[in-house]
This record gives sequence, C-alpha cells and structure tokens, in this order.
Amino acid sequence: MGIRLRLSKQTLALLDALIDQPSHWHHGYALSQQTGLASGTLYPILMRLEKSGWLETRWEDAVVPGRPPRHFYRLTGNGREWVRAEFRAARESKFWKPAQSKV
Amino acid sequence: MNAPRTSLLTRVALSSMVLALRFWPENTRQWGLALLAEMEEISEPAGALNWAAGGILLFLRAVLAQIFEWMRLPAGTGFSGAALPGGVNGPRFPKHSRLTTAVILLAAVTLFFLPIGREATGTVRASWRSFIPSSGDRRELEKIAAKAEKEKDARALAFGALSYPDSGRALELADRAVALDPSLVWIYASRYYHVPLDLPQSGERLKQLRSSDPENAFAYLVSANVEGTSRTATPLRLQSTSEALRSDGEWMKEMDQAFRATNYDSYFRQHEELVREGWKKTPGLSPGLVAIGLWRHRIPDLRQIQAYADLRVNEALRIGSARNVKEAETILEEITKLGRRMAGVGGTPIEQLSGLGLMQRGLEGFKKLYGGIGRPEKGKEIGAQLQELETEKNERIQSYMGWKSDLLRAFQWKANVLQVSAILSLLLAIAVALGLFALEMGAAFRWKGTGTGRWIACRVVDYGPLLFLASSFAFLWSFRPIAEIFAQYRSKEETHTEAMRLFWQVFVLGDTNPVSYFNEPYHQWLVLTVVLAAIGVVVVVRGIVRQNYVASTTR
Repeated sequence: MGIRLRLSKQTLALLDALIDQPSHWHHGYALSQQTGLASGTLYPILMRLEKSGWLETRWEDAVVPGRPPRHFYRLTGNGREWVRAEFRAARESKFWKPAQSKV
Repeated sequence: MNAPRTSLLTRVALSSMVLALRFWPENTRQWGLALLAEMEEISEPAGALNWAAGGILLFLRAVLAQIFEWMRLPAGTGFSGAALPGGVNGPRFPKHSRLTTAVILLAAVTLFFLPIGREATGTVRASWRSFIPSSGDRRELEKIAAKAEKEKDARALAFGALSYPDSGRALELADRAVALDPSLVWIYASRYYHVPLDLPQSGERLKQLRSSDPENAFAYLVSANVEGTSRTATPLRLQSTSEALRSDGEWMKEMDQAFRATNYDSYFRQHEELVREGWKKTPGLSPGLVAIGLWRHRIPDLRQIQAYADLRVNEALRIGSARNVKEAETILEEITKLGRRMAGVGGTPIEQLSGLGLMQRGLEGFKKLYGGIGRPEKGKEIGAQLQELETEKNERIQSYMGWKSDLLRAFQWKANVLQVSAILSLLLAIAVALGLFALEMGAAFRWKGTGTGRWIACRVVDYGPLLFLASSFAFLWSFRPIAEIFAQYRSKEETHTEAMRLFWQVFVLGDTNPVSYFNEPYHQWLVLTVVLAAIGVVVVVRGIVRQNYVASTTR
C-alpha cells in the first residue's frame, strides 16, 4: 500500500471505468473497450494497481471447456476510497474531469 | 470463441501469445494468461493482432524487469534470489550486485574502444607477436590496396608495396604503382622483397630504375648486389667475397658504374615520406607494420662495396707502381667520392658510417700509393686527412650511439610499465571472467560451496573489476607517450628523426615483449618449477593447518 502511483490520464481513465460499477468484476477486454486503452497500456496499469493493493483480482470459476479461464478485476474497499479522493483532487486542480460525477 | 480461427492474423496473434507465454517470467505469468484468455473475446482479426502486440510488449517488459532484478543481485544467485546467503553455513556470495560489477567492467572495456585504447591494444598485441604481421594486418593492407586501385592512387599502392609482408604480393603492388606513376620506380630498390635472394625478374625492374635515375650509384649497387648475392650466399670473410665476385663480369660492370656515378641516394627519405603518408591515411594501421616497412628499407650490401673497393685499391696501387699515377689517383678518387656521397645526411646512419669507412679505404690507398712512389709530403697530407676522418667517424658513432642509448634508456621503463599494465589487465580480465563463470555456473548447478574456491571466486568478482578498471586506465596512461610519438611521426613534414625514433621505440617494445620471455626453454622450465613449488607449499601448509585443527578439536 505504500507505493505511490503516478496518476496519468490513462490511469485515471481506467479508475473511472472501475469506479463506475465498483462491486462489479471487470475483465480486461471490456475495460480496454471502455477506456480505449491498448492492452500494452492497460495491463501494466492493472499490474501496478494490484501491486499497490487498490485492485483485487480473481480467475473465472466456471470454465468453458476449450477456453482458458478469464481474469477479473475490481477495486478493493481501500481502493475505492483512494480513487474517490484522487478524483476529488484531480477535479479541483482541473487536471482531469471524470466522464460522470462519481464523487 | 468469437474470432474466426481461420483468419491468418488471428492465428498469428494467438501463436505469438502462446510462444511468449512459454518464456514468460513466472512472477508475472498470470497476466500473460489473462491477456491470452481475453483474445478469445475479440472478433476482429486486426483487433486480435493489436491485442497480442500489447501482450508481446508486456512480455518484453516482464523479461526486462526480471533481468533488472537479476542484475540487482550478486553473481551466483538464481533468478528468484532464493539462493542468497543462508546463514553461517550457507554459500558465499560477492558483496556487490551484478549491476555494479557490470557497470565497472563496462567502464573498463569502454577504455579499450577509445581511439587511444584501440591503438594501445593493437600496438601491444603486435609487440607480443614480435611485430610479425598478423592476418588482420594483411587484410588492412589489402583494403588499402583495393581502395588505391579503385582510386588509381599510385602512392597508396606504393605504400602497400613497401609494407606488405609477403614479397610476391608486394611486388605485384609495386608493379601496379609504377605502372600508374613511373616516377615511383625507386620502390623496386628501396626494400628487400626477397631476403636473401631477390626474384630473378628483379633485374628487369632494376633496369627501369637505372634508366630513370642513371647518375644514382644506389641503383647500380643494388643491381650488383642482386647479381652478386647468388655467388656469395653465405660467405663470412671479405677475402672469399672478393675472390668469388671478381670473376663475375656483370657484377664488376655494375660496380664500376656505381663508383663512377655522380650521385648516391638510397631513397630513404622518399621511403619515409611514403610510409608517413600511408599511415596518416590509415591511422588504425598497426605501428609494427609501419616500423617493419621502414626496417625493410634496403641498403646496399656493404661487404660487396668493400670487396670491390679493395679490388680497385689494389688495381690502383698496381697501376701506380707502373708510374701511371694519374690513372691510379682517378680510381682512388672514385672510391673516396662514393664514400663521401654515402656519408651525406640523406641516408641511414649505417650508410653514412659505411660511407666514411669507404672514404677511409680510398685515403689509405692514396697513402700507400704516395708512399710507394716516393711522395712523402702528399702521404703526410693524406695522413692528416685520415686523422680527421677517423675523428669524424668516431664522433658520428658516439653521437648516434649516444642518441640511441639515451633514447632506449628513456624509453625502456615506459615500455616496461606498458607491458606490465597490459599483462595485468589481461590477467585480471581473465580472472574476473573465470570468477563470474564459476559463480554463475555454480548457481545453475546449485553449487553451495563454502570452501576456499568459492571464497576466492567471490573476492575476485568483488575486487577484480575495480582492479581491472585501474590497470586498464594505467595501461592507457602509460601508452600516452608512445601515442604522442606515433602522432608526431604522422604529423611532421620532416620525418627523418621521427622515423628513427619510431623505429627504435618499436624495437624496444618488441624487445620487452613478455611473451618472448616464455619462448626460451629455460624460462619455461623456470615458470613450471615455480608453479609446482607453489602448489607443493600450499598442499603442505594446508595439511599442517588441517592436522592442527583436527588435533585441537579432538583434544
């Protein structure tokens, strides 16, 4: 949790997508579609969020035969609080404006 | 499964991801699997390829991150770092990370890639071969020749001819150079192409030189030498040389023309100038090759000149005793005149001293002649001249020998420092490489040694790179004076002194060559004995220490 994340516009866009439905488990491709981020940008951010403890992950339970299980992501409780605080700060500094007000 | 499997792009994307997963570092492999699983949801082939490209990027980042993590650990540890020191009984590891070791080694290696580093390495390596040209030197000269041929650069071809180690190829280059620029015909005579015998076809080439420079005694002397060498392949005594040669009409004719010629020039200055010009054009050329080019400068066979001079002196005395003094004087005059020309400033020191020797022979002939015909006042005059000549000869010898010994003395220790630092750098580089190899291989084969071998490997990897850096720096530092001499030689217009300096310094460098030390069987046995004695001492001391240890623990 001690890791300080650099909040780039891409990270903020991802957090925006994740906080939109905070209890919902998201998968990578949907997040990519939602944020417009390429896989090469999206996954390093997901990895950093997980390492910081803001993101929890799980593998798909019901595996369809012949298809590998998918990986799901959502913000942890601490993560949600942190995201809200960061959004507030970002909005105040006019650095970034979330797509819709979630704070 | 939305993406059509038949699409080539999709198959390429999937295959590349599967391949990347095979080598994906374990600690982040789950992210690779996650990326692969998502590909099943992508219907567009181009989208799948794009997704896979991002995956490959992530894979490369993961690999780089793992390499960086690995570099942050000391040599001998595995990827996970799990084999790090495990207490008192655990294996030893170096104190520094691989990264620190790599940075220091890189700094040291970079020194050798600097222009001075390359020149220093090339020079010292050539000295270890006793300046025998390597295949790399030949390739370099071939490149020069090919470029010169393309650009129709006769002087560069002539430089190649004077420096090329193989006589046959050197003559080919000389022919090309002379064909392009006939004024370079002197290169046929100014180096030894074949030692001790020149090719039979040398005669034709030397004829060209004689016709282009008919008043130069050197051209006739060299022609006579080529003719006479076959008759006097190994004679050691001057007397036998004279006897062998006097019956050779062709030799006598060439010598006669040489002694009558009004000029003497062995083309040493032109040779130096050409070498300097060639080296300036190709500064990367081995200095040894350049020095060898100068070493090959031909001077006439002095023994043959002396033999002919003796024949002529005897002839003059015979004619003189028959009261034909004028003719006898003319013959002796020819001898002293050629000697004076050779003693001029343009030639090599050996030529100059030989010139004085020839003058001496002529004057002694005069003295005998005047003594024989009863003209003591003339004999006295010649005696005074001989005295002056002797003084001049001694002065020149002392001056040259003094200059040479001062130069050699001043340069000797510099050459020693250079050779020692070069050897030290090489040994340290080998030691560090072996230490790293042992520890890394140890990690691969789970060598968990705690003994002396591992301790030595760790210490070598800890301190070796720094010492290697220091010795490499010392190596380049000690090469600086030599590099300055090379640069001076290349930059000066008047090169005679610089050429001699370069010549002798390269000679000393070859003489201090440490490799030649091991060429002698005595030194080989000495080194072998010292090494075996050292091993014996280590074994005995170790045995005593162990015995004492066992005794103390069982008491």
